[in-house]
Amino acid sequence: MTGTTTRSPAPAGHVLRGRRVSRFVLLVIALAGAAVASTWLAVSIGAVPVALPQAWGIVADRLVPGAVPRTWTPVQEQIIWEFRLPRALLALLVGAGLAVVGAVLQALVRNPLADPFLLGVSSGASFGAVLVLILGASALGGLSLSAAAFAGSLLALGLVYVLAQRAGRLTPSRLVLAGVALAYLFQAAYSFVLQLAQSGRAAQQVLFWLMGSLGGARWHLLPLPAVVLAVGVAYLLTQHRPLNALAAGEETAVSLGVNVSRFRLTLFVLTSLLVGVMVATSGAIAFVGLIVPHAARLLVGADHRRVLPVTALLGAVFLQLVDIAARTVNAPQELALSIVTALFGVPFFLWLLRRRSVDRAVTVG
Amino acid sequence: MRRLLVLATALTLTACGQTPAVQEAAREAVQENGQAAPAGFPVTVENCGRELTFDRPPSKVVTGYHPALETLLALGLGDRITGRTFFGESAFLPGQKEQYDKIPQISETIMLPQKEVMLSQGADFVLDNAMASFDAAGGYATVEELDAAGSPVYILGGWCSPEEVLRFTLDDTFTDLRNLGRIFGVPDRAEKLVTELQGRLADVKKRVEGRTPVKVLATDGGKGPVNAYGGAGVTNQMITMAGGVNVLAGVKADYTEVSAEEVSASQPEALLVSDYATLRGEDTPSSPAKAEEAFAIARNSPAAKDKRYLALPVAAQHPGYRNLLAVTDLARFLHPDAFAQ
Repeated sequence: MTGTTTRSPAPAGHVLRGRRVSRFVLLVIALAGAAVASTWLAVSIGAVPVALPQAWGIVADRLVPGAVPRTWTPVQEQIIWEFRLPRALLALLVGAGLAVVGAVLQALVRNPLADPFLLGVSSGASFGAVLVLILGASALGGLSLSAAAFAGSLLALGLVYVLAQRAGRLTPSRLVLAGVALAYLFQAAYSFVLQLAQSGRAAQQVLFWLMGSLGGARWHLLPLPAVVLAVGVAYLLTQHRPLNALAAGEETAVSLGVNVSRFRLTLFVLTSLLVGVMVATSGAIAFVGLIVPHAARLLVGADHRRVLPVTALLGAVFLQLVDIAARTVNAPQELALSIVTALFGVPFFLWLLRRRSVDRAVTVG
Repeated sequence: MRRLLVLATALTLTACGQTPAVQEAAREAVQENGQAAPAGFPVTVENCGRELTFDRPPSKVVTGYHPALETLLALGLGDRITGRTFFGESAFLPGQKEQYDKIPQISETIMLPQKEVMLSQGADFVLDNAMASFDAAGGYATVEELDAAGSPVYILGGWCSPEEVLRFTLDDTFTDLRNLGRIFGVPDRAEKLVTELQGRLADVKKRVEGRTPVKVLATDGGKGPVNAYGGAGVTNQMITMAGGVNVLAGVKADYTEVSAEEVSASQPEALLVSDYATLRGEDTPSSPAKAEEAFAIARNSPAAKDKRYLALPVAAQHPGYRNLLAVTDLARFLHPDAFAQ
């Protein structure tokens, strides 16, 4: 499926364009509002009830010490400040990051089925994580779970690059094939380790990790993904023009002056690093990176200048809501995120699909 | 066993509930041969809704996860066991290591060997803690296949399905001991062991009675969500029996993932940490790290302030002899004063 780079300039293009822009701005404002509202909700509710005045008093007190009279217990403070708020912020970050990476990869390999885990990075990360979960931290020289996951994703990244490049050039088909093949290899490797361990408990813990969870979010874990995601996503947002060109096809891109092989390499390394960081903090959360970009395209068309910001915001809001559900539906037990992303995401996406033309849903560029 | 339970769930529903017809046929064949059954035989017991019939006491027994072997050794039946699995996840019960060493090891893991090896054992009785080692998808001989081969399978505590695991009560182990006593033709020995164990539990009950229950968090580690034991199943009952109260009693589950905030708010006074080496041959205890994880989350709790935890071998969290012994250990940990004299 080849996409179109720019919308065909209709006779009434000018008027149409003006109307679209205002709609786009409204949509961005609405989504930003939704992100704030969903984050507010995420901090306000959880497995342990904390009344709203206390919950937000704790946050206010931390931001401006002494701003409000202390009417809460240390446990409530720990719950709100150490568990819920960092978790809510991480949900926004990871949701936005996964969705943007998905959108970029769909353009990079020109395949509507591409998602952040296509290029083998998540299986590499999972392999690293499983090693730590099964063998213990000592086995990998004291690497923590997320460090091992990140190391695994770097390993996968390197291997995919070596396999997919020819004279330094990456082609989409080789990238996809190398990524998929290595994903199988890493899956086999961690399944083997799991089977060696023969422990149902370990399997359950690994499964939970493989299905994604934000339950481990803490403040000290936030800076790295926050910086990497902010820089990475900001850079990608500036690349809407070459992305549009790339999505239209290599020849178009070349004719528009894009250094295709170099741009592909940049995108590949950048997205892989982003995915590595995200998988290392939250496990492999499925579905967000696949569906959110399509939903964004259904809302604003194929131009990456609009798709990327809407994708980021939509992804952030979506994962925030999903995580709230994962924490509260079966509280105090938690559901793995990939379960909830699919349960909530599929009906929403089907509804979107039915509202808009199917053709545009699968148009990538 | 719970460790294996997760892997086992798929199979369990099909595995229970069939009467071994072949067993019946085998018995008739023996009787036609004119071999008289020993006194008191044939014996029929029920396990997981299946009826198992024995014409004579088994003499070629294969045991699965270690609590099964421990229970038979406690009944003095070590000489009947011809094959066992590997055990290295925690220490042996006193005096059992020597007997363990004498029995041929037929599996390098805590699981039974794969189908062909298992069937070639020619066992006349198989005792295990869960259904995981009978999962056809895992390459294991199923309960039906073993039945057909004359190797009836008995699952301790009736842990044949997730529902049955939740239904288990500590008293079910007495039923198991009596059943095993009948199967092996040693009902008096079984009754003696039951009396002894009931005496231990009664002693625990007497000692902890009237004392304020200690709030216990039973955990298997995790930075969030936390792997922990809810209000259903064997661990919760051990805590209650030992004079504690499970802070997650309201969670309708056995082994599950609980949110960090719930654990933080639960305010345990003591931790019960599942202890087991994760890989064969590895003997590093996993419990200190897991305790630290839980203490970090429940930072404001009395348990964290006192760094109070008991590393409980996970084998004791499965039905069997060790499980009932561990109730005393747990009570001693929760109420040291009660055991002072």
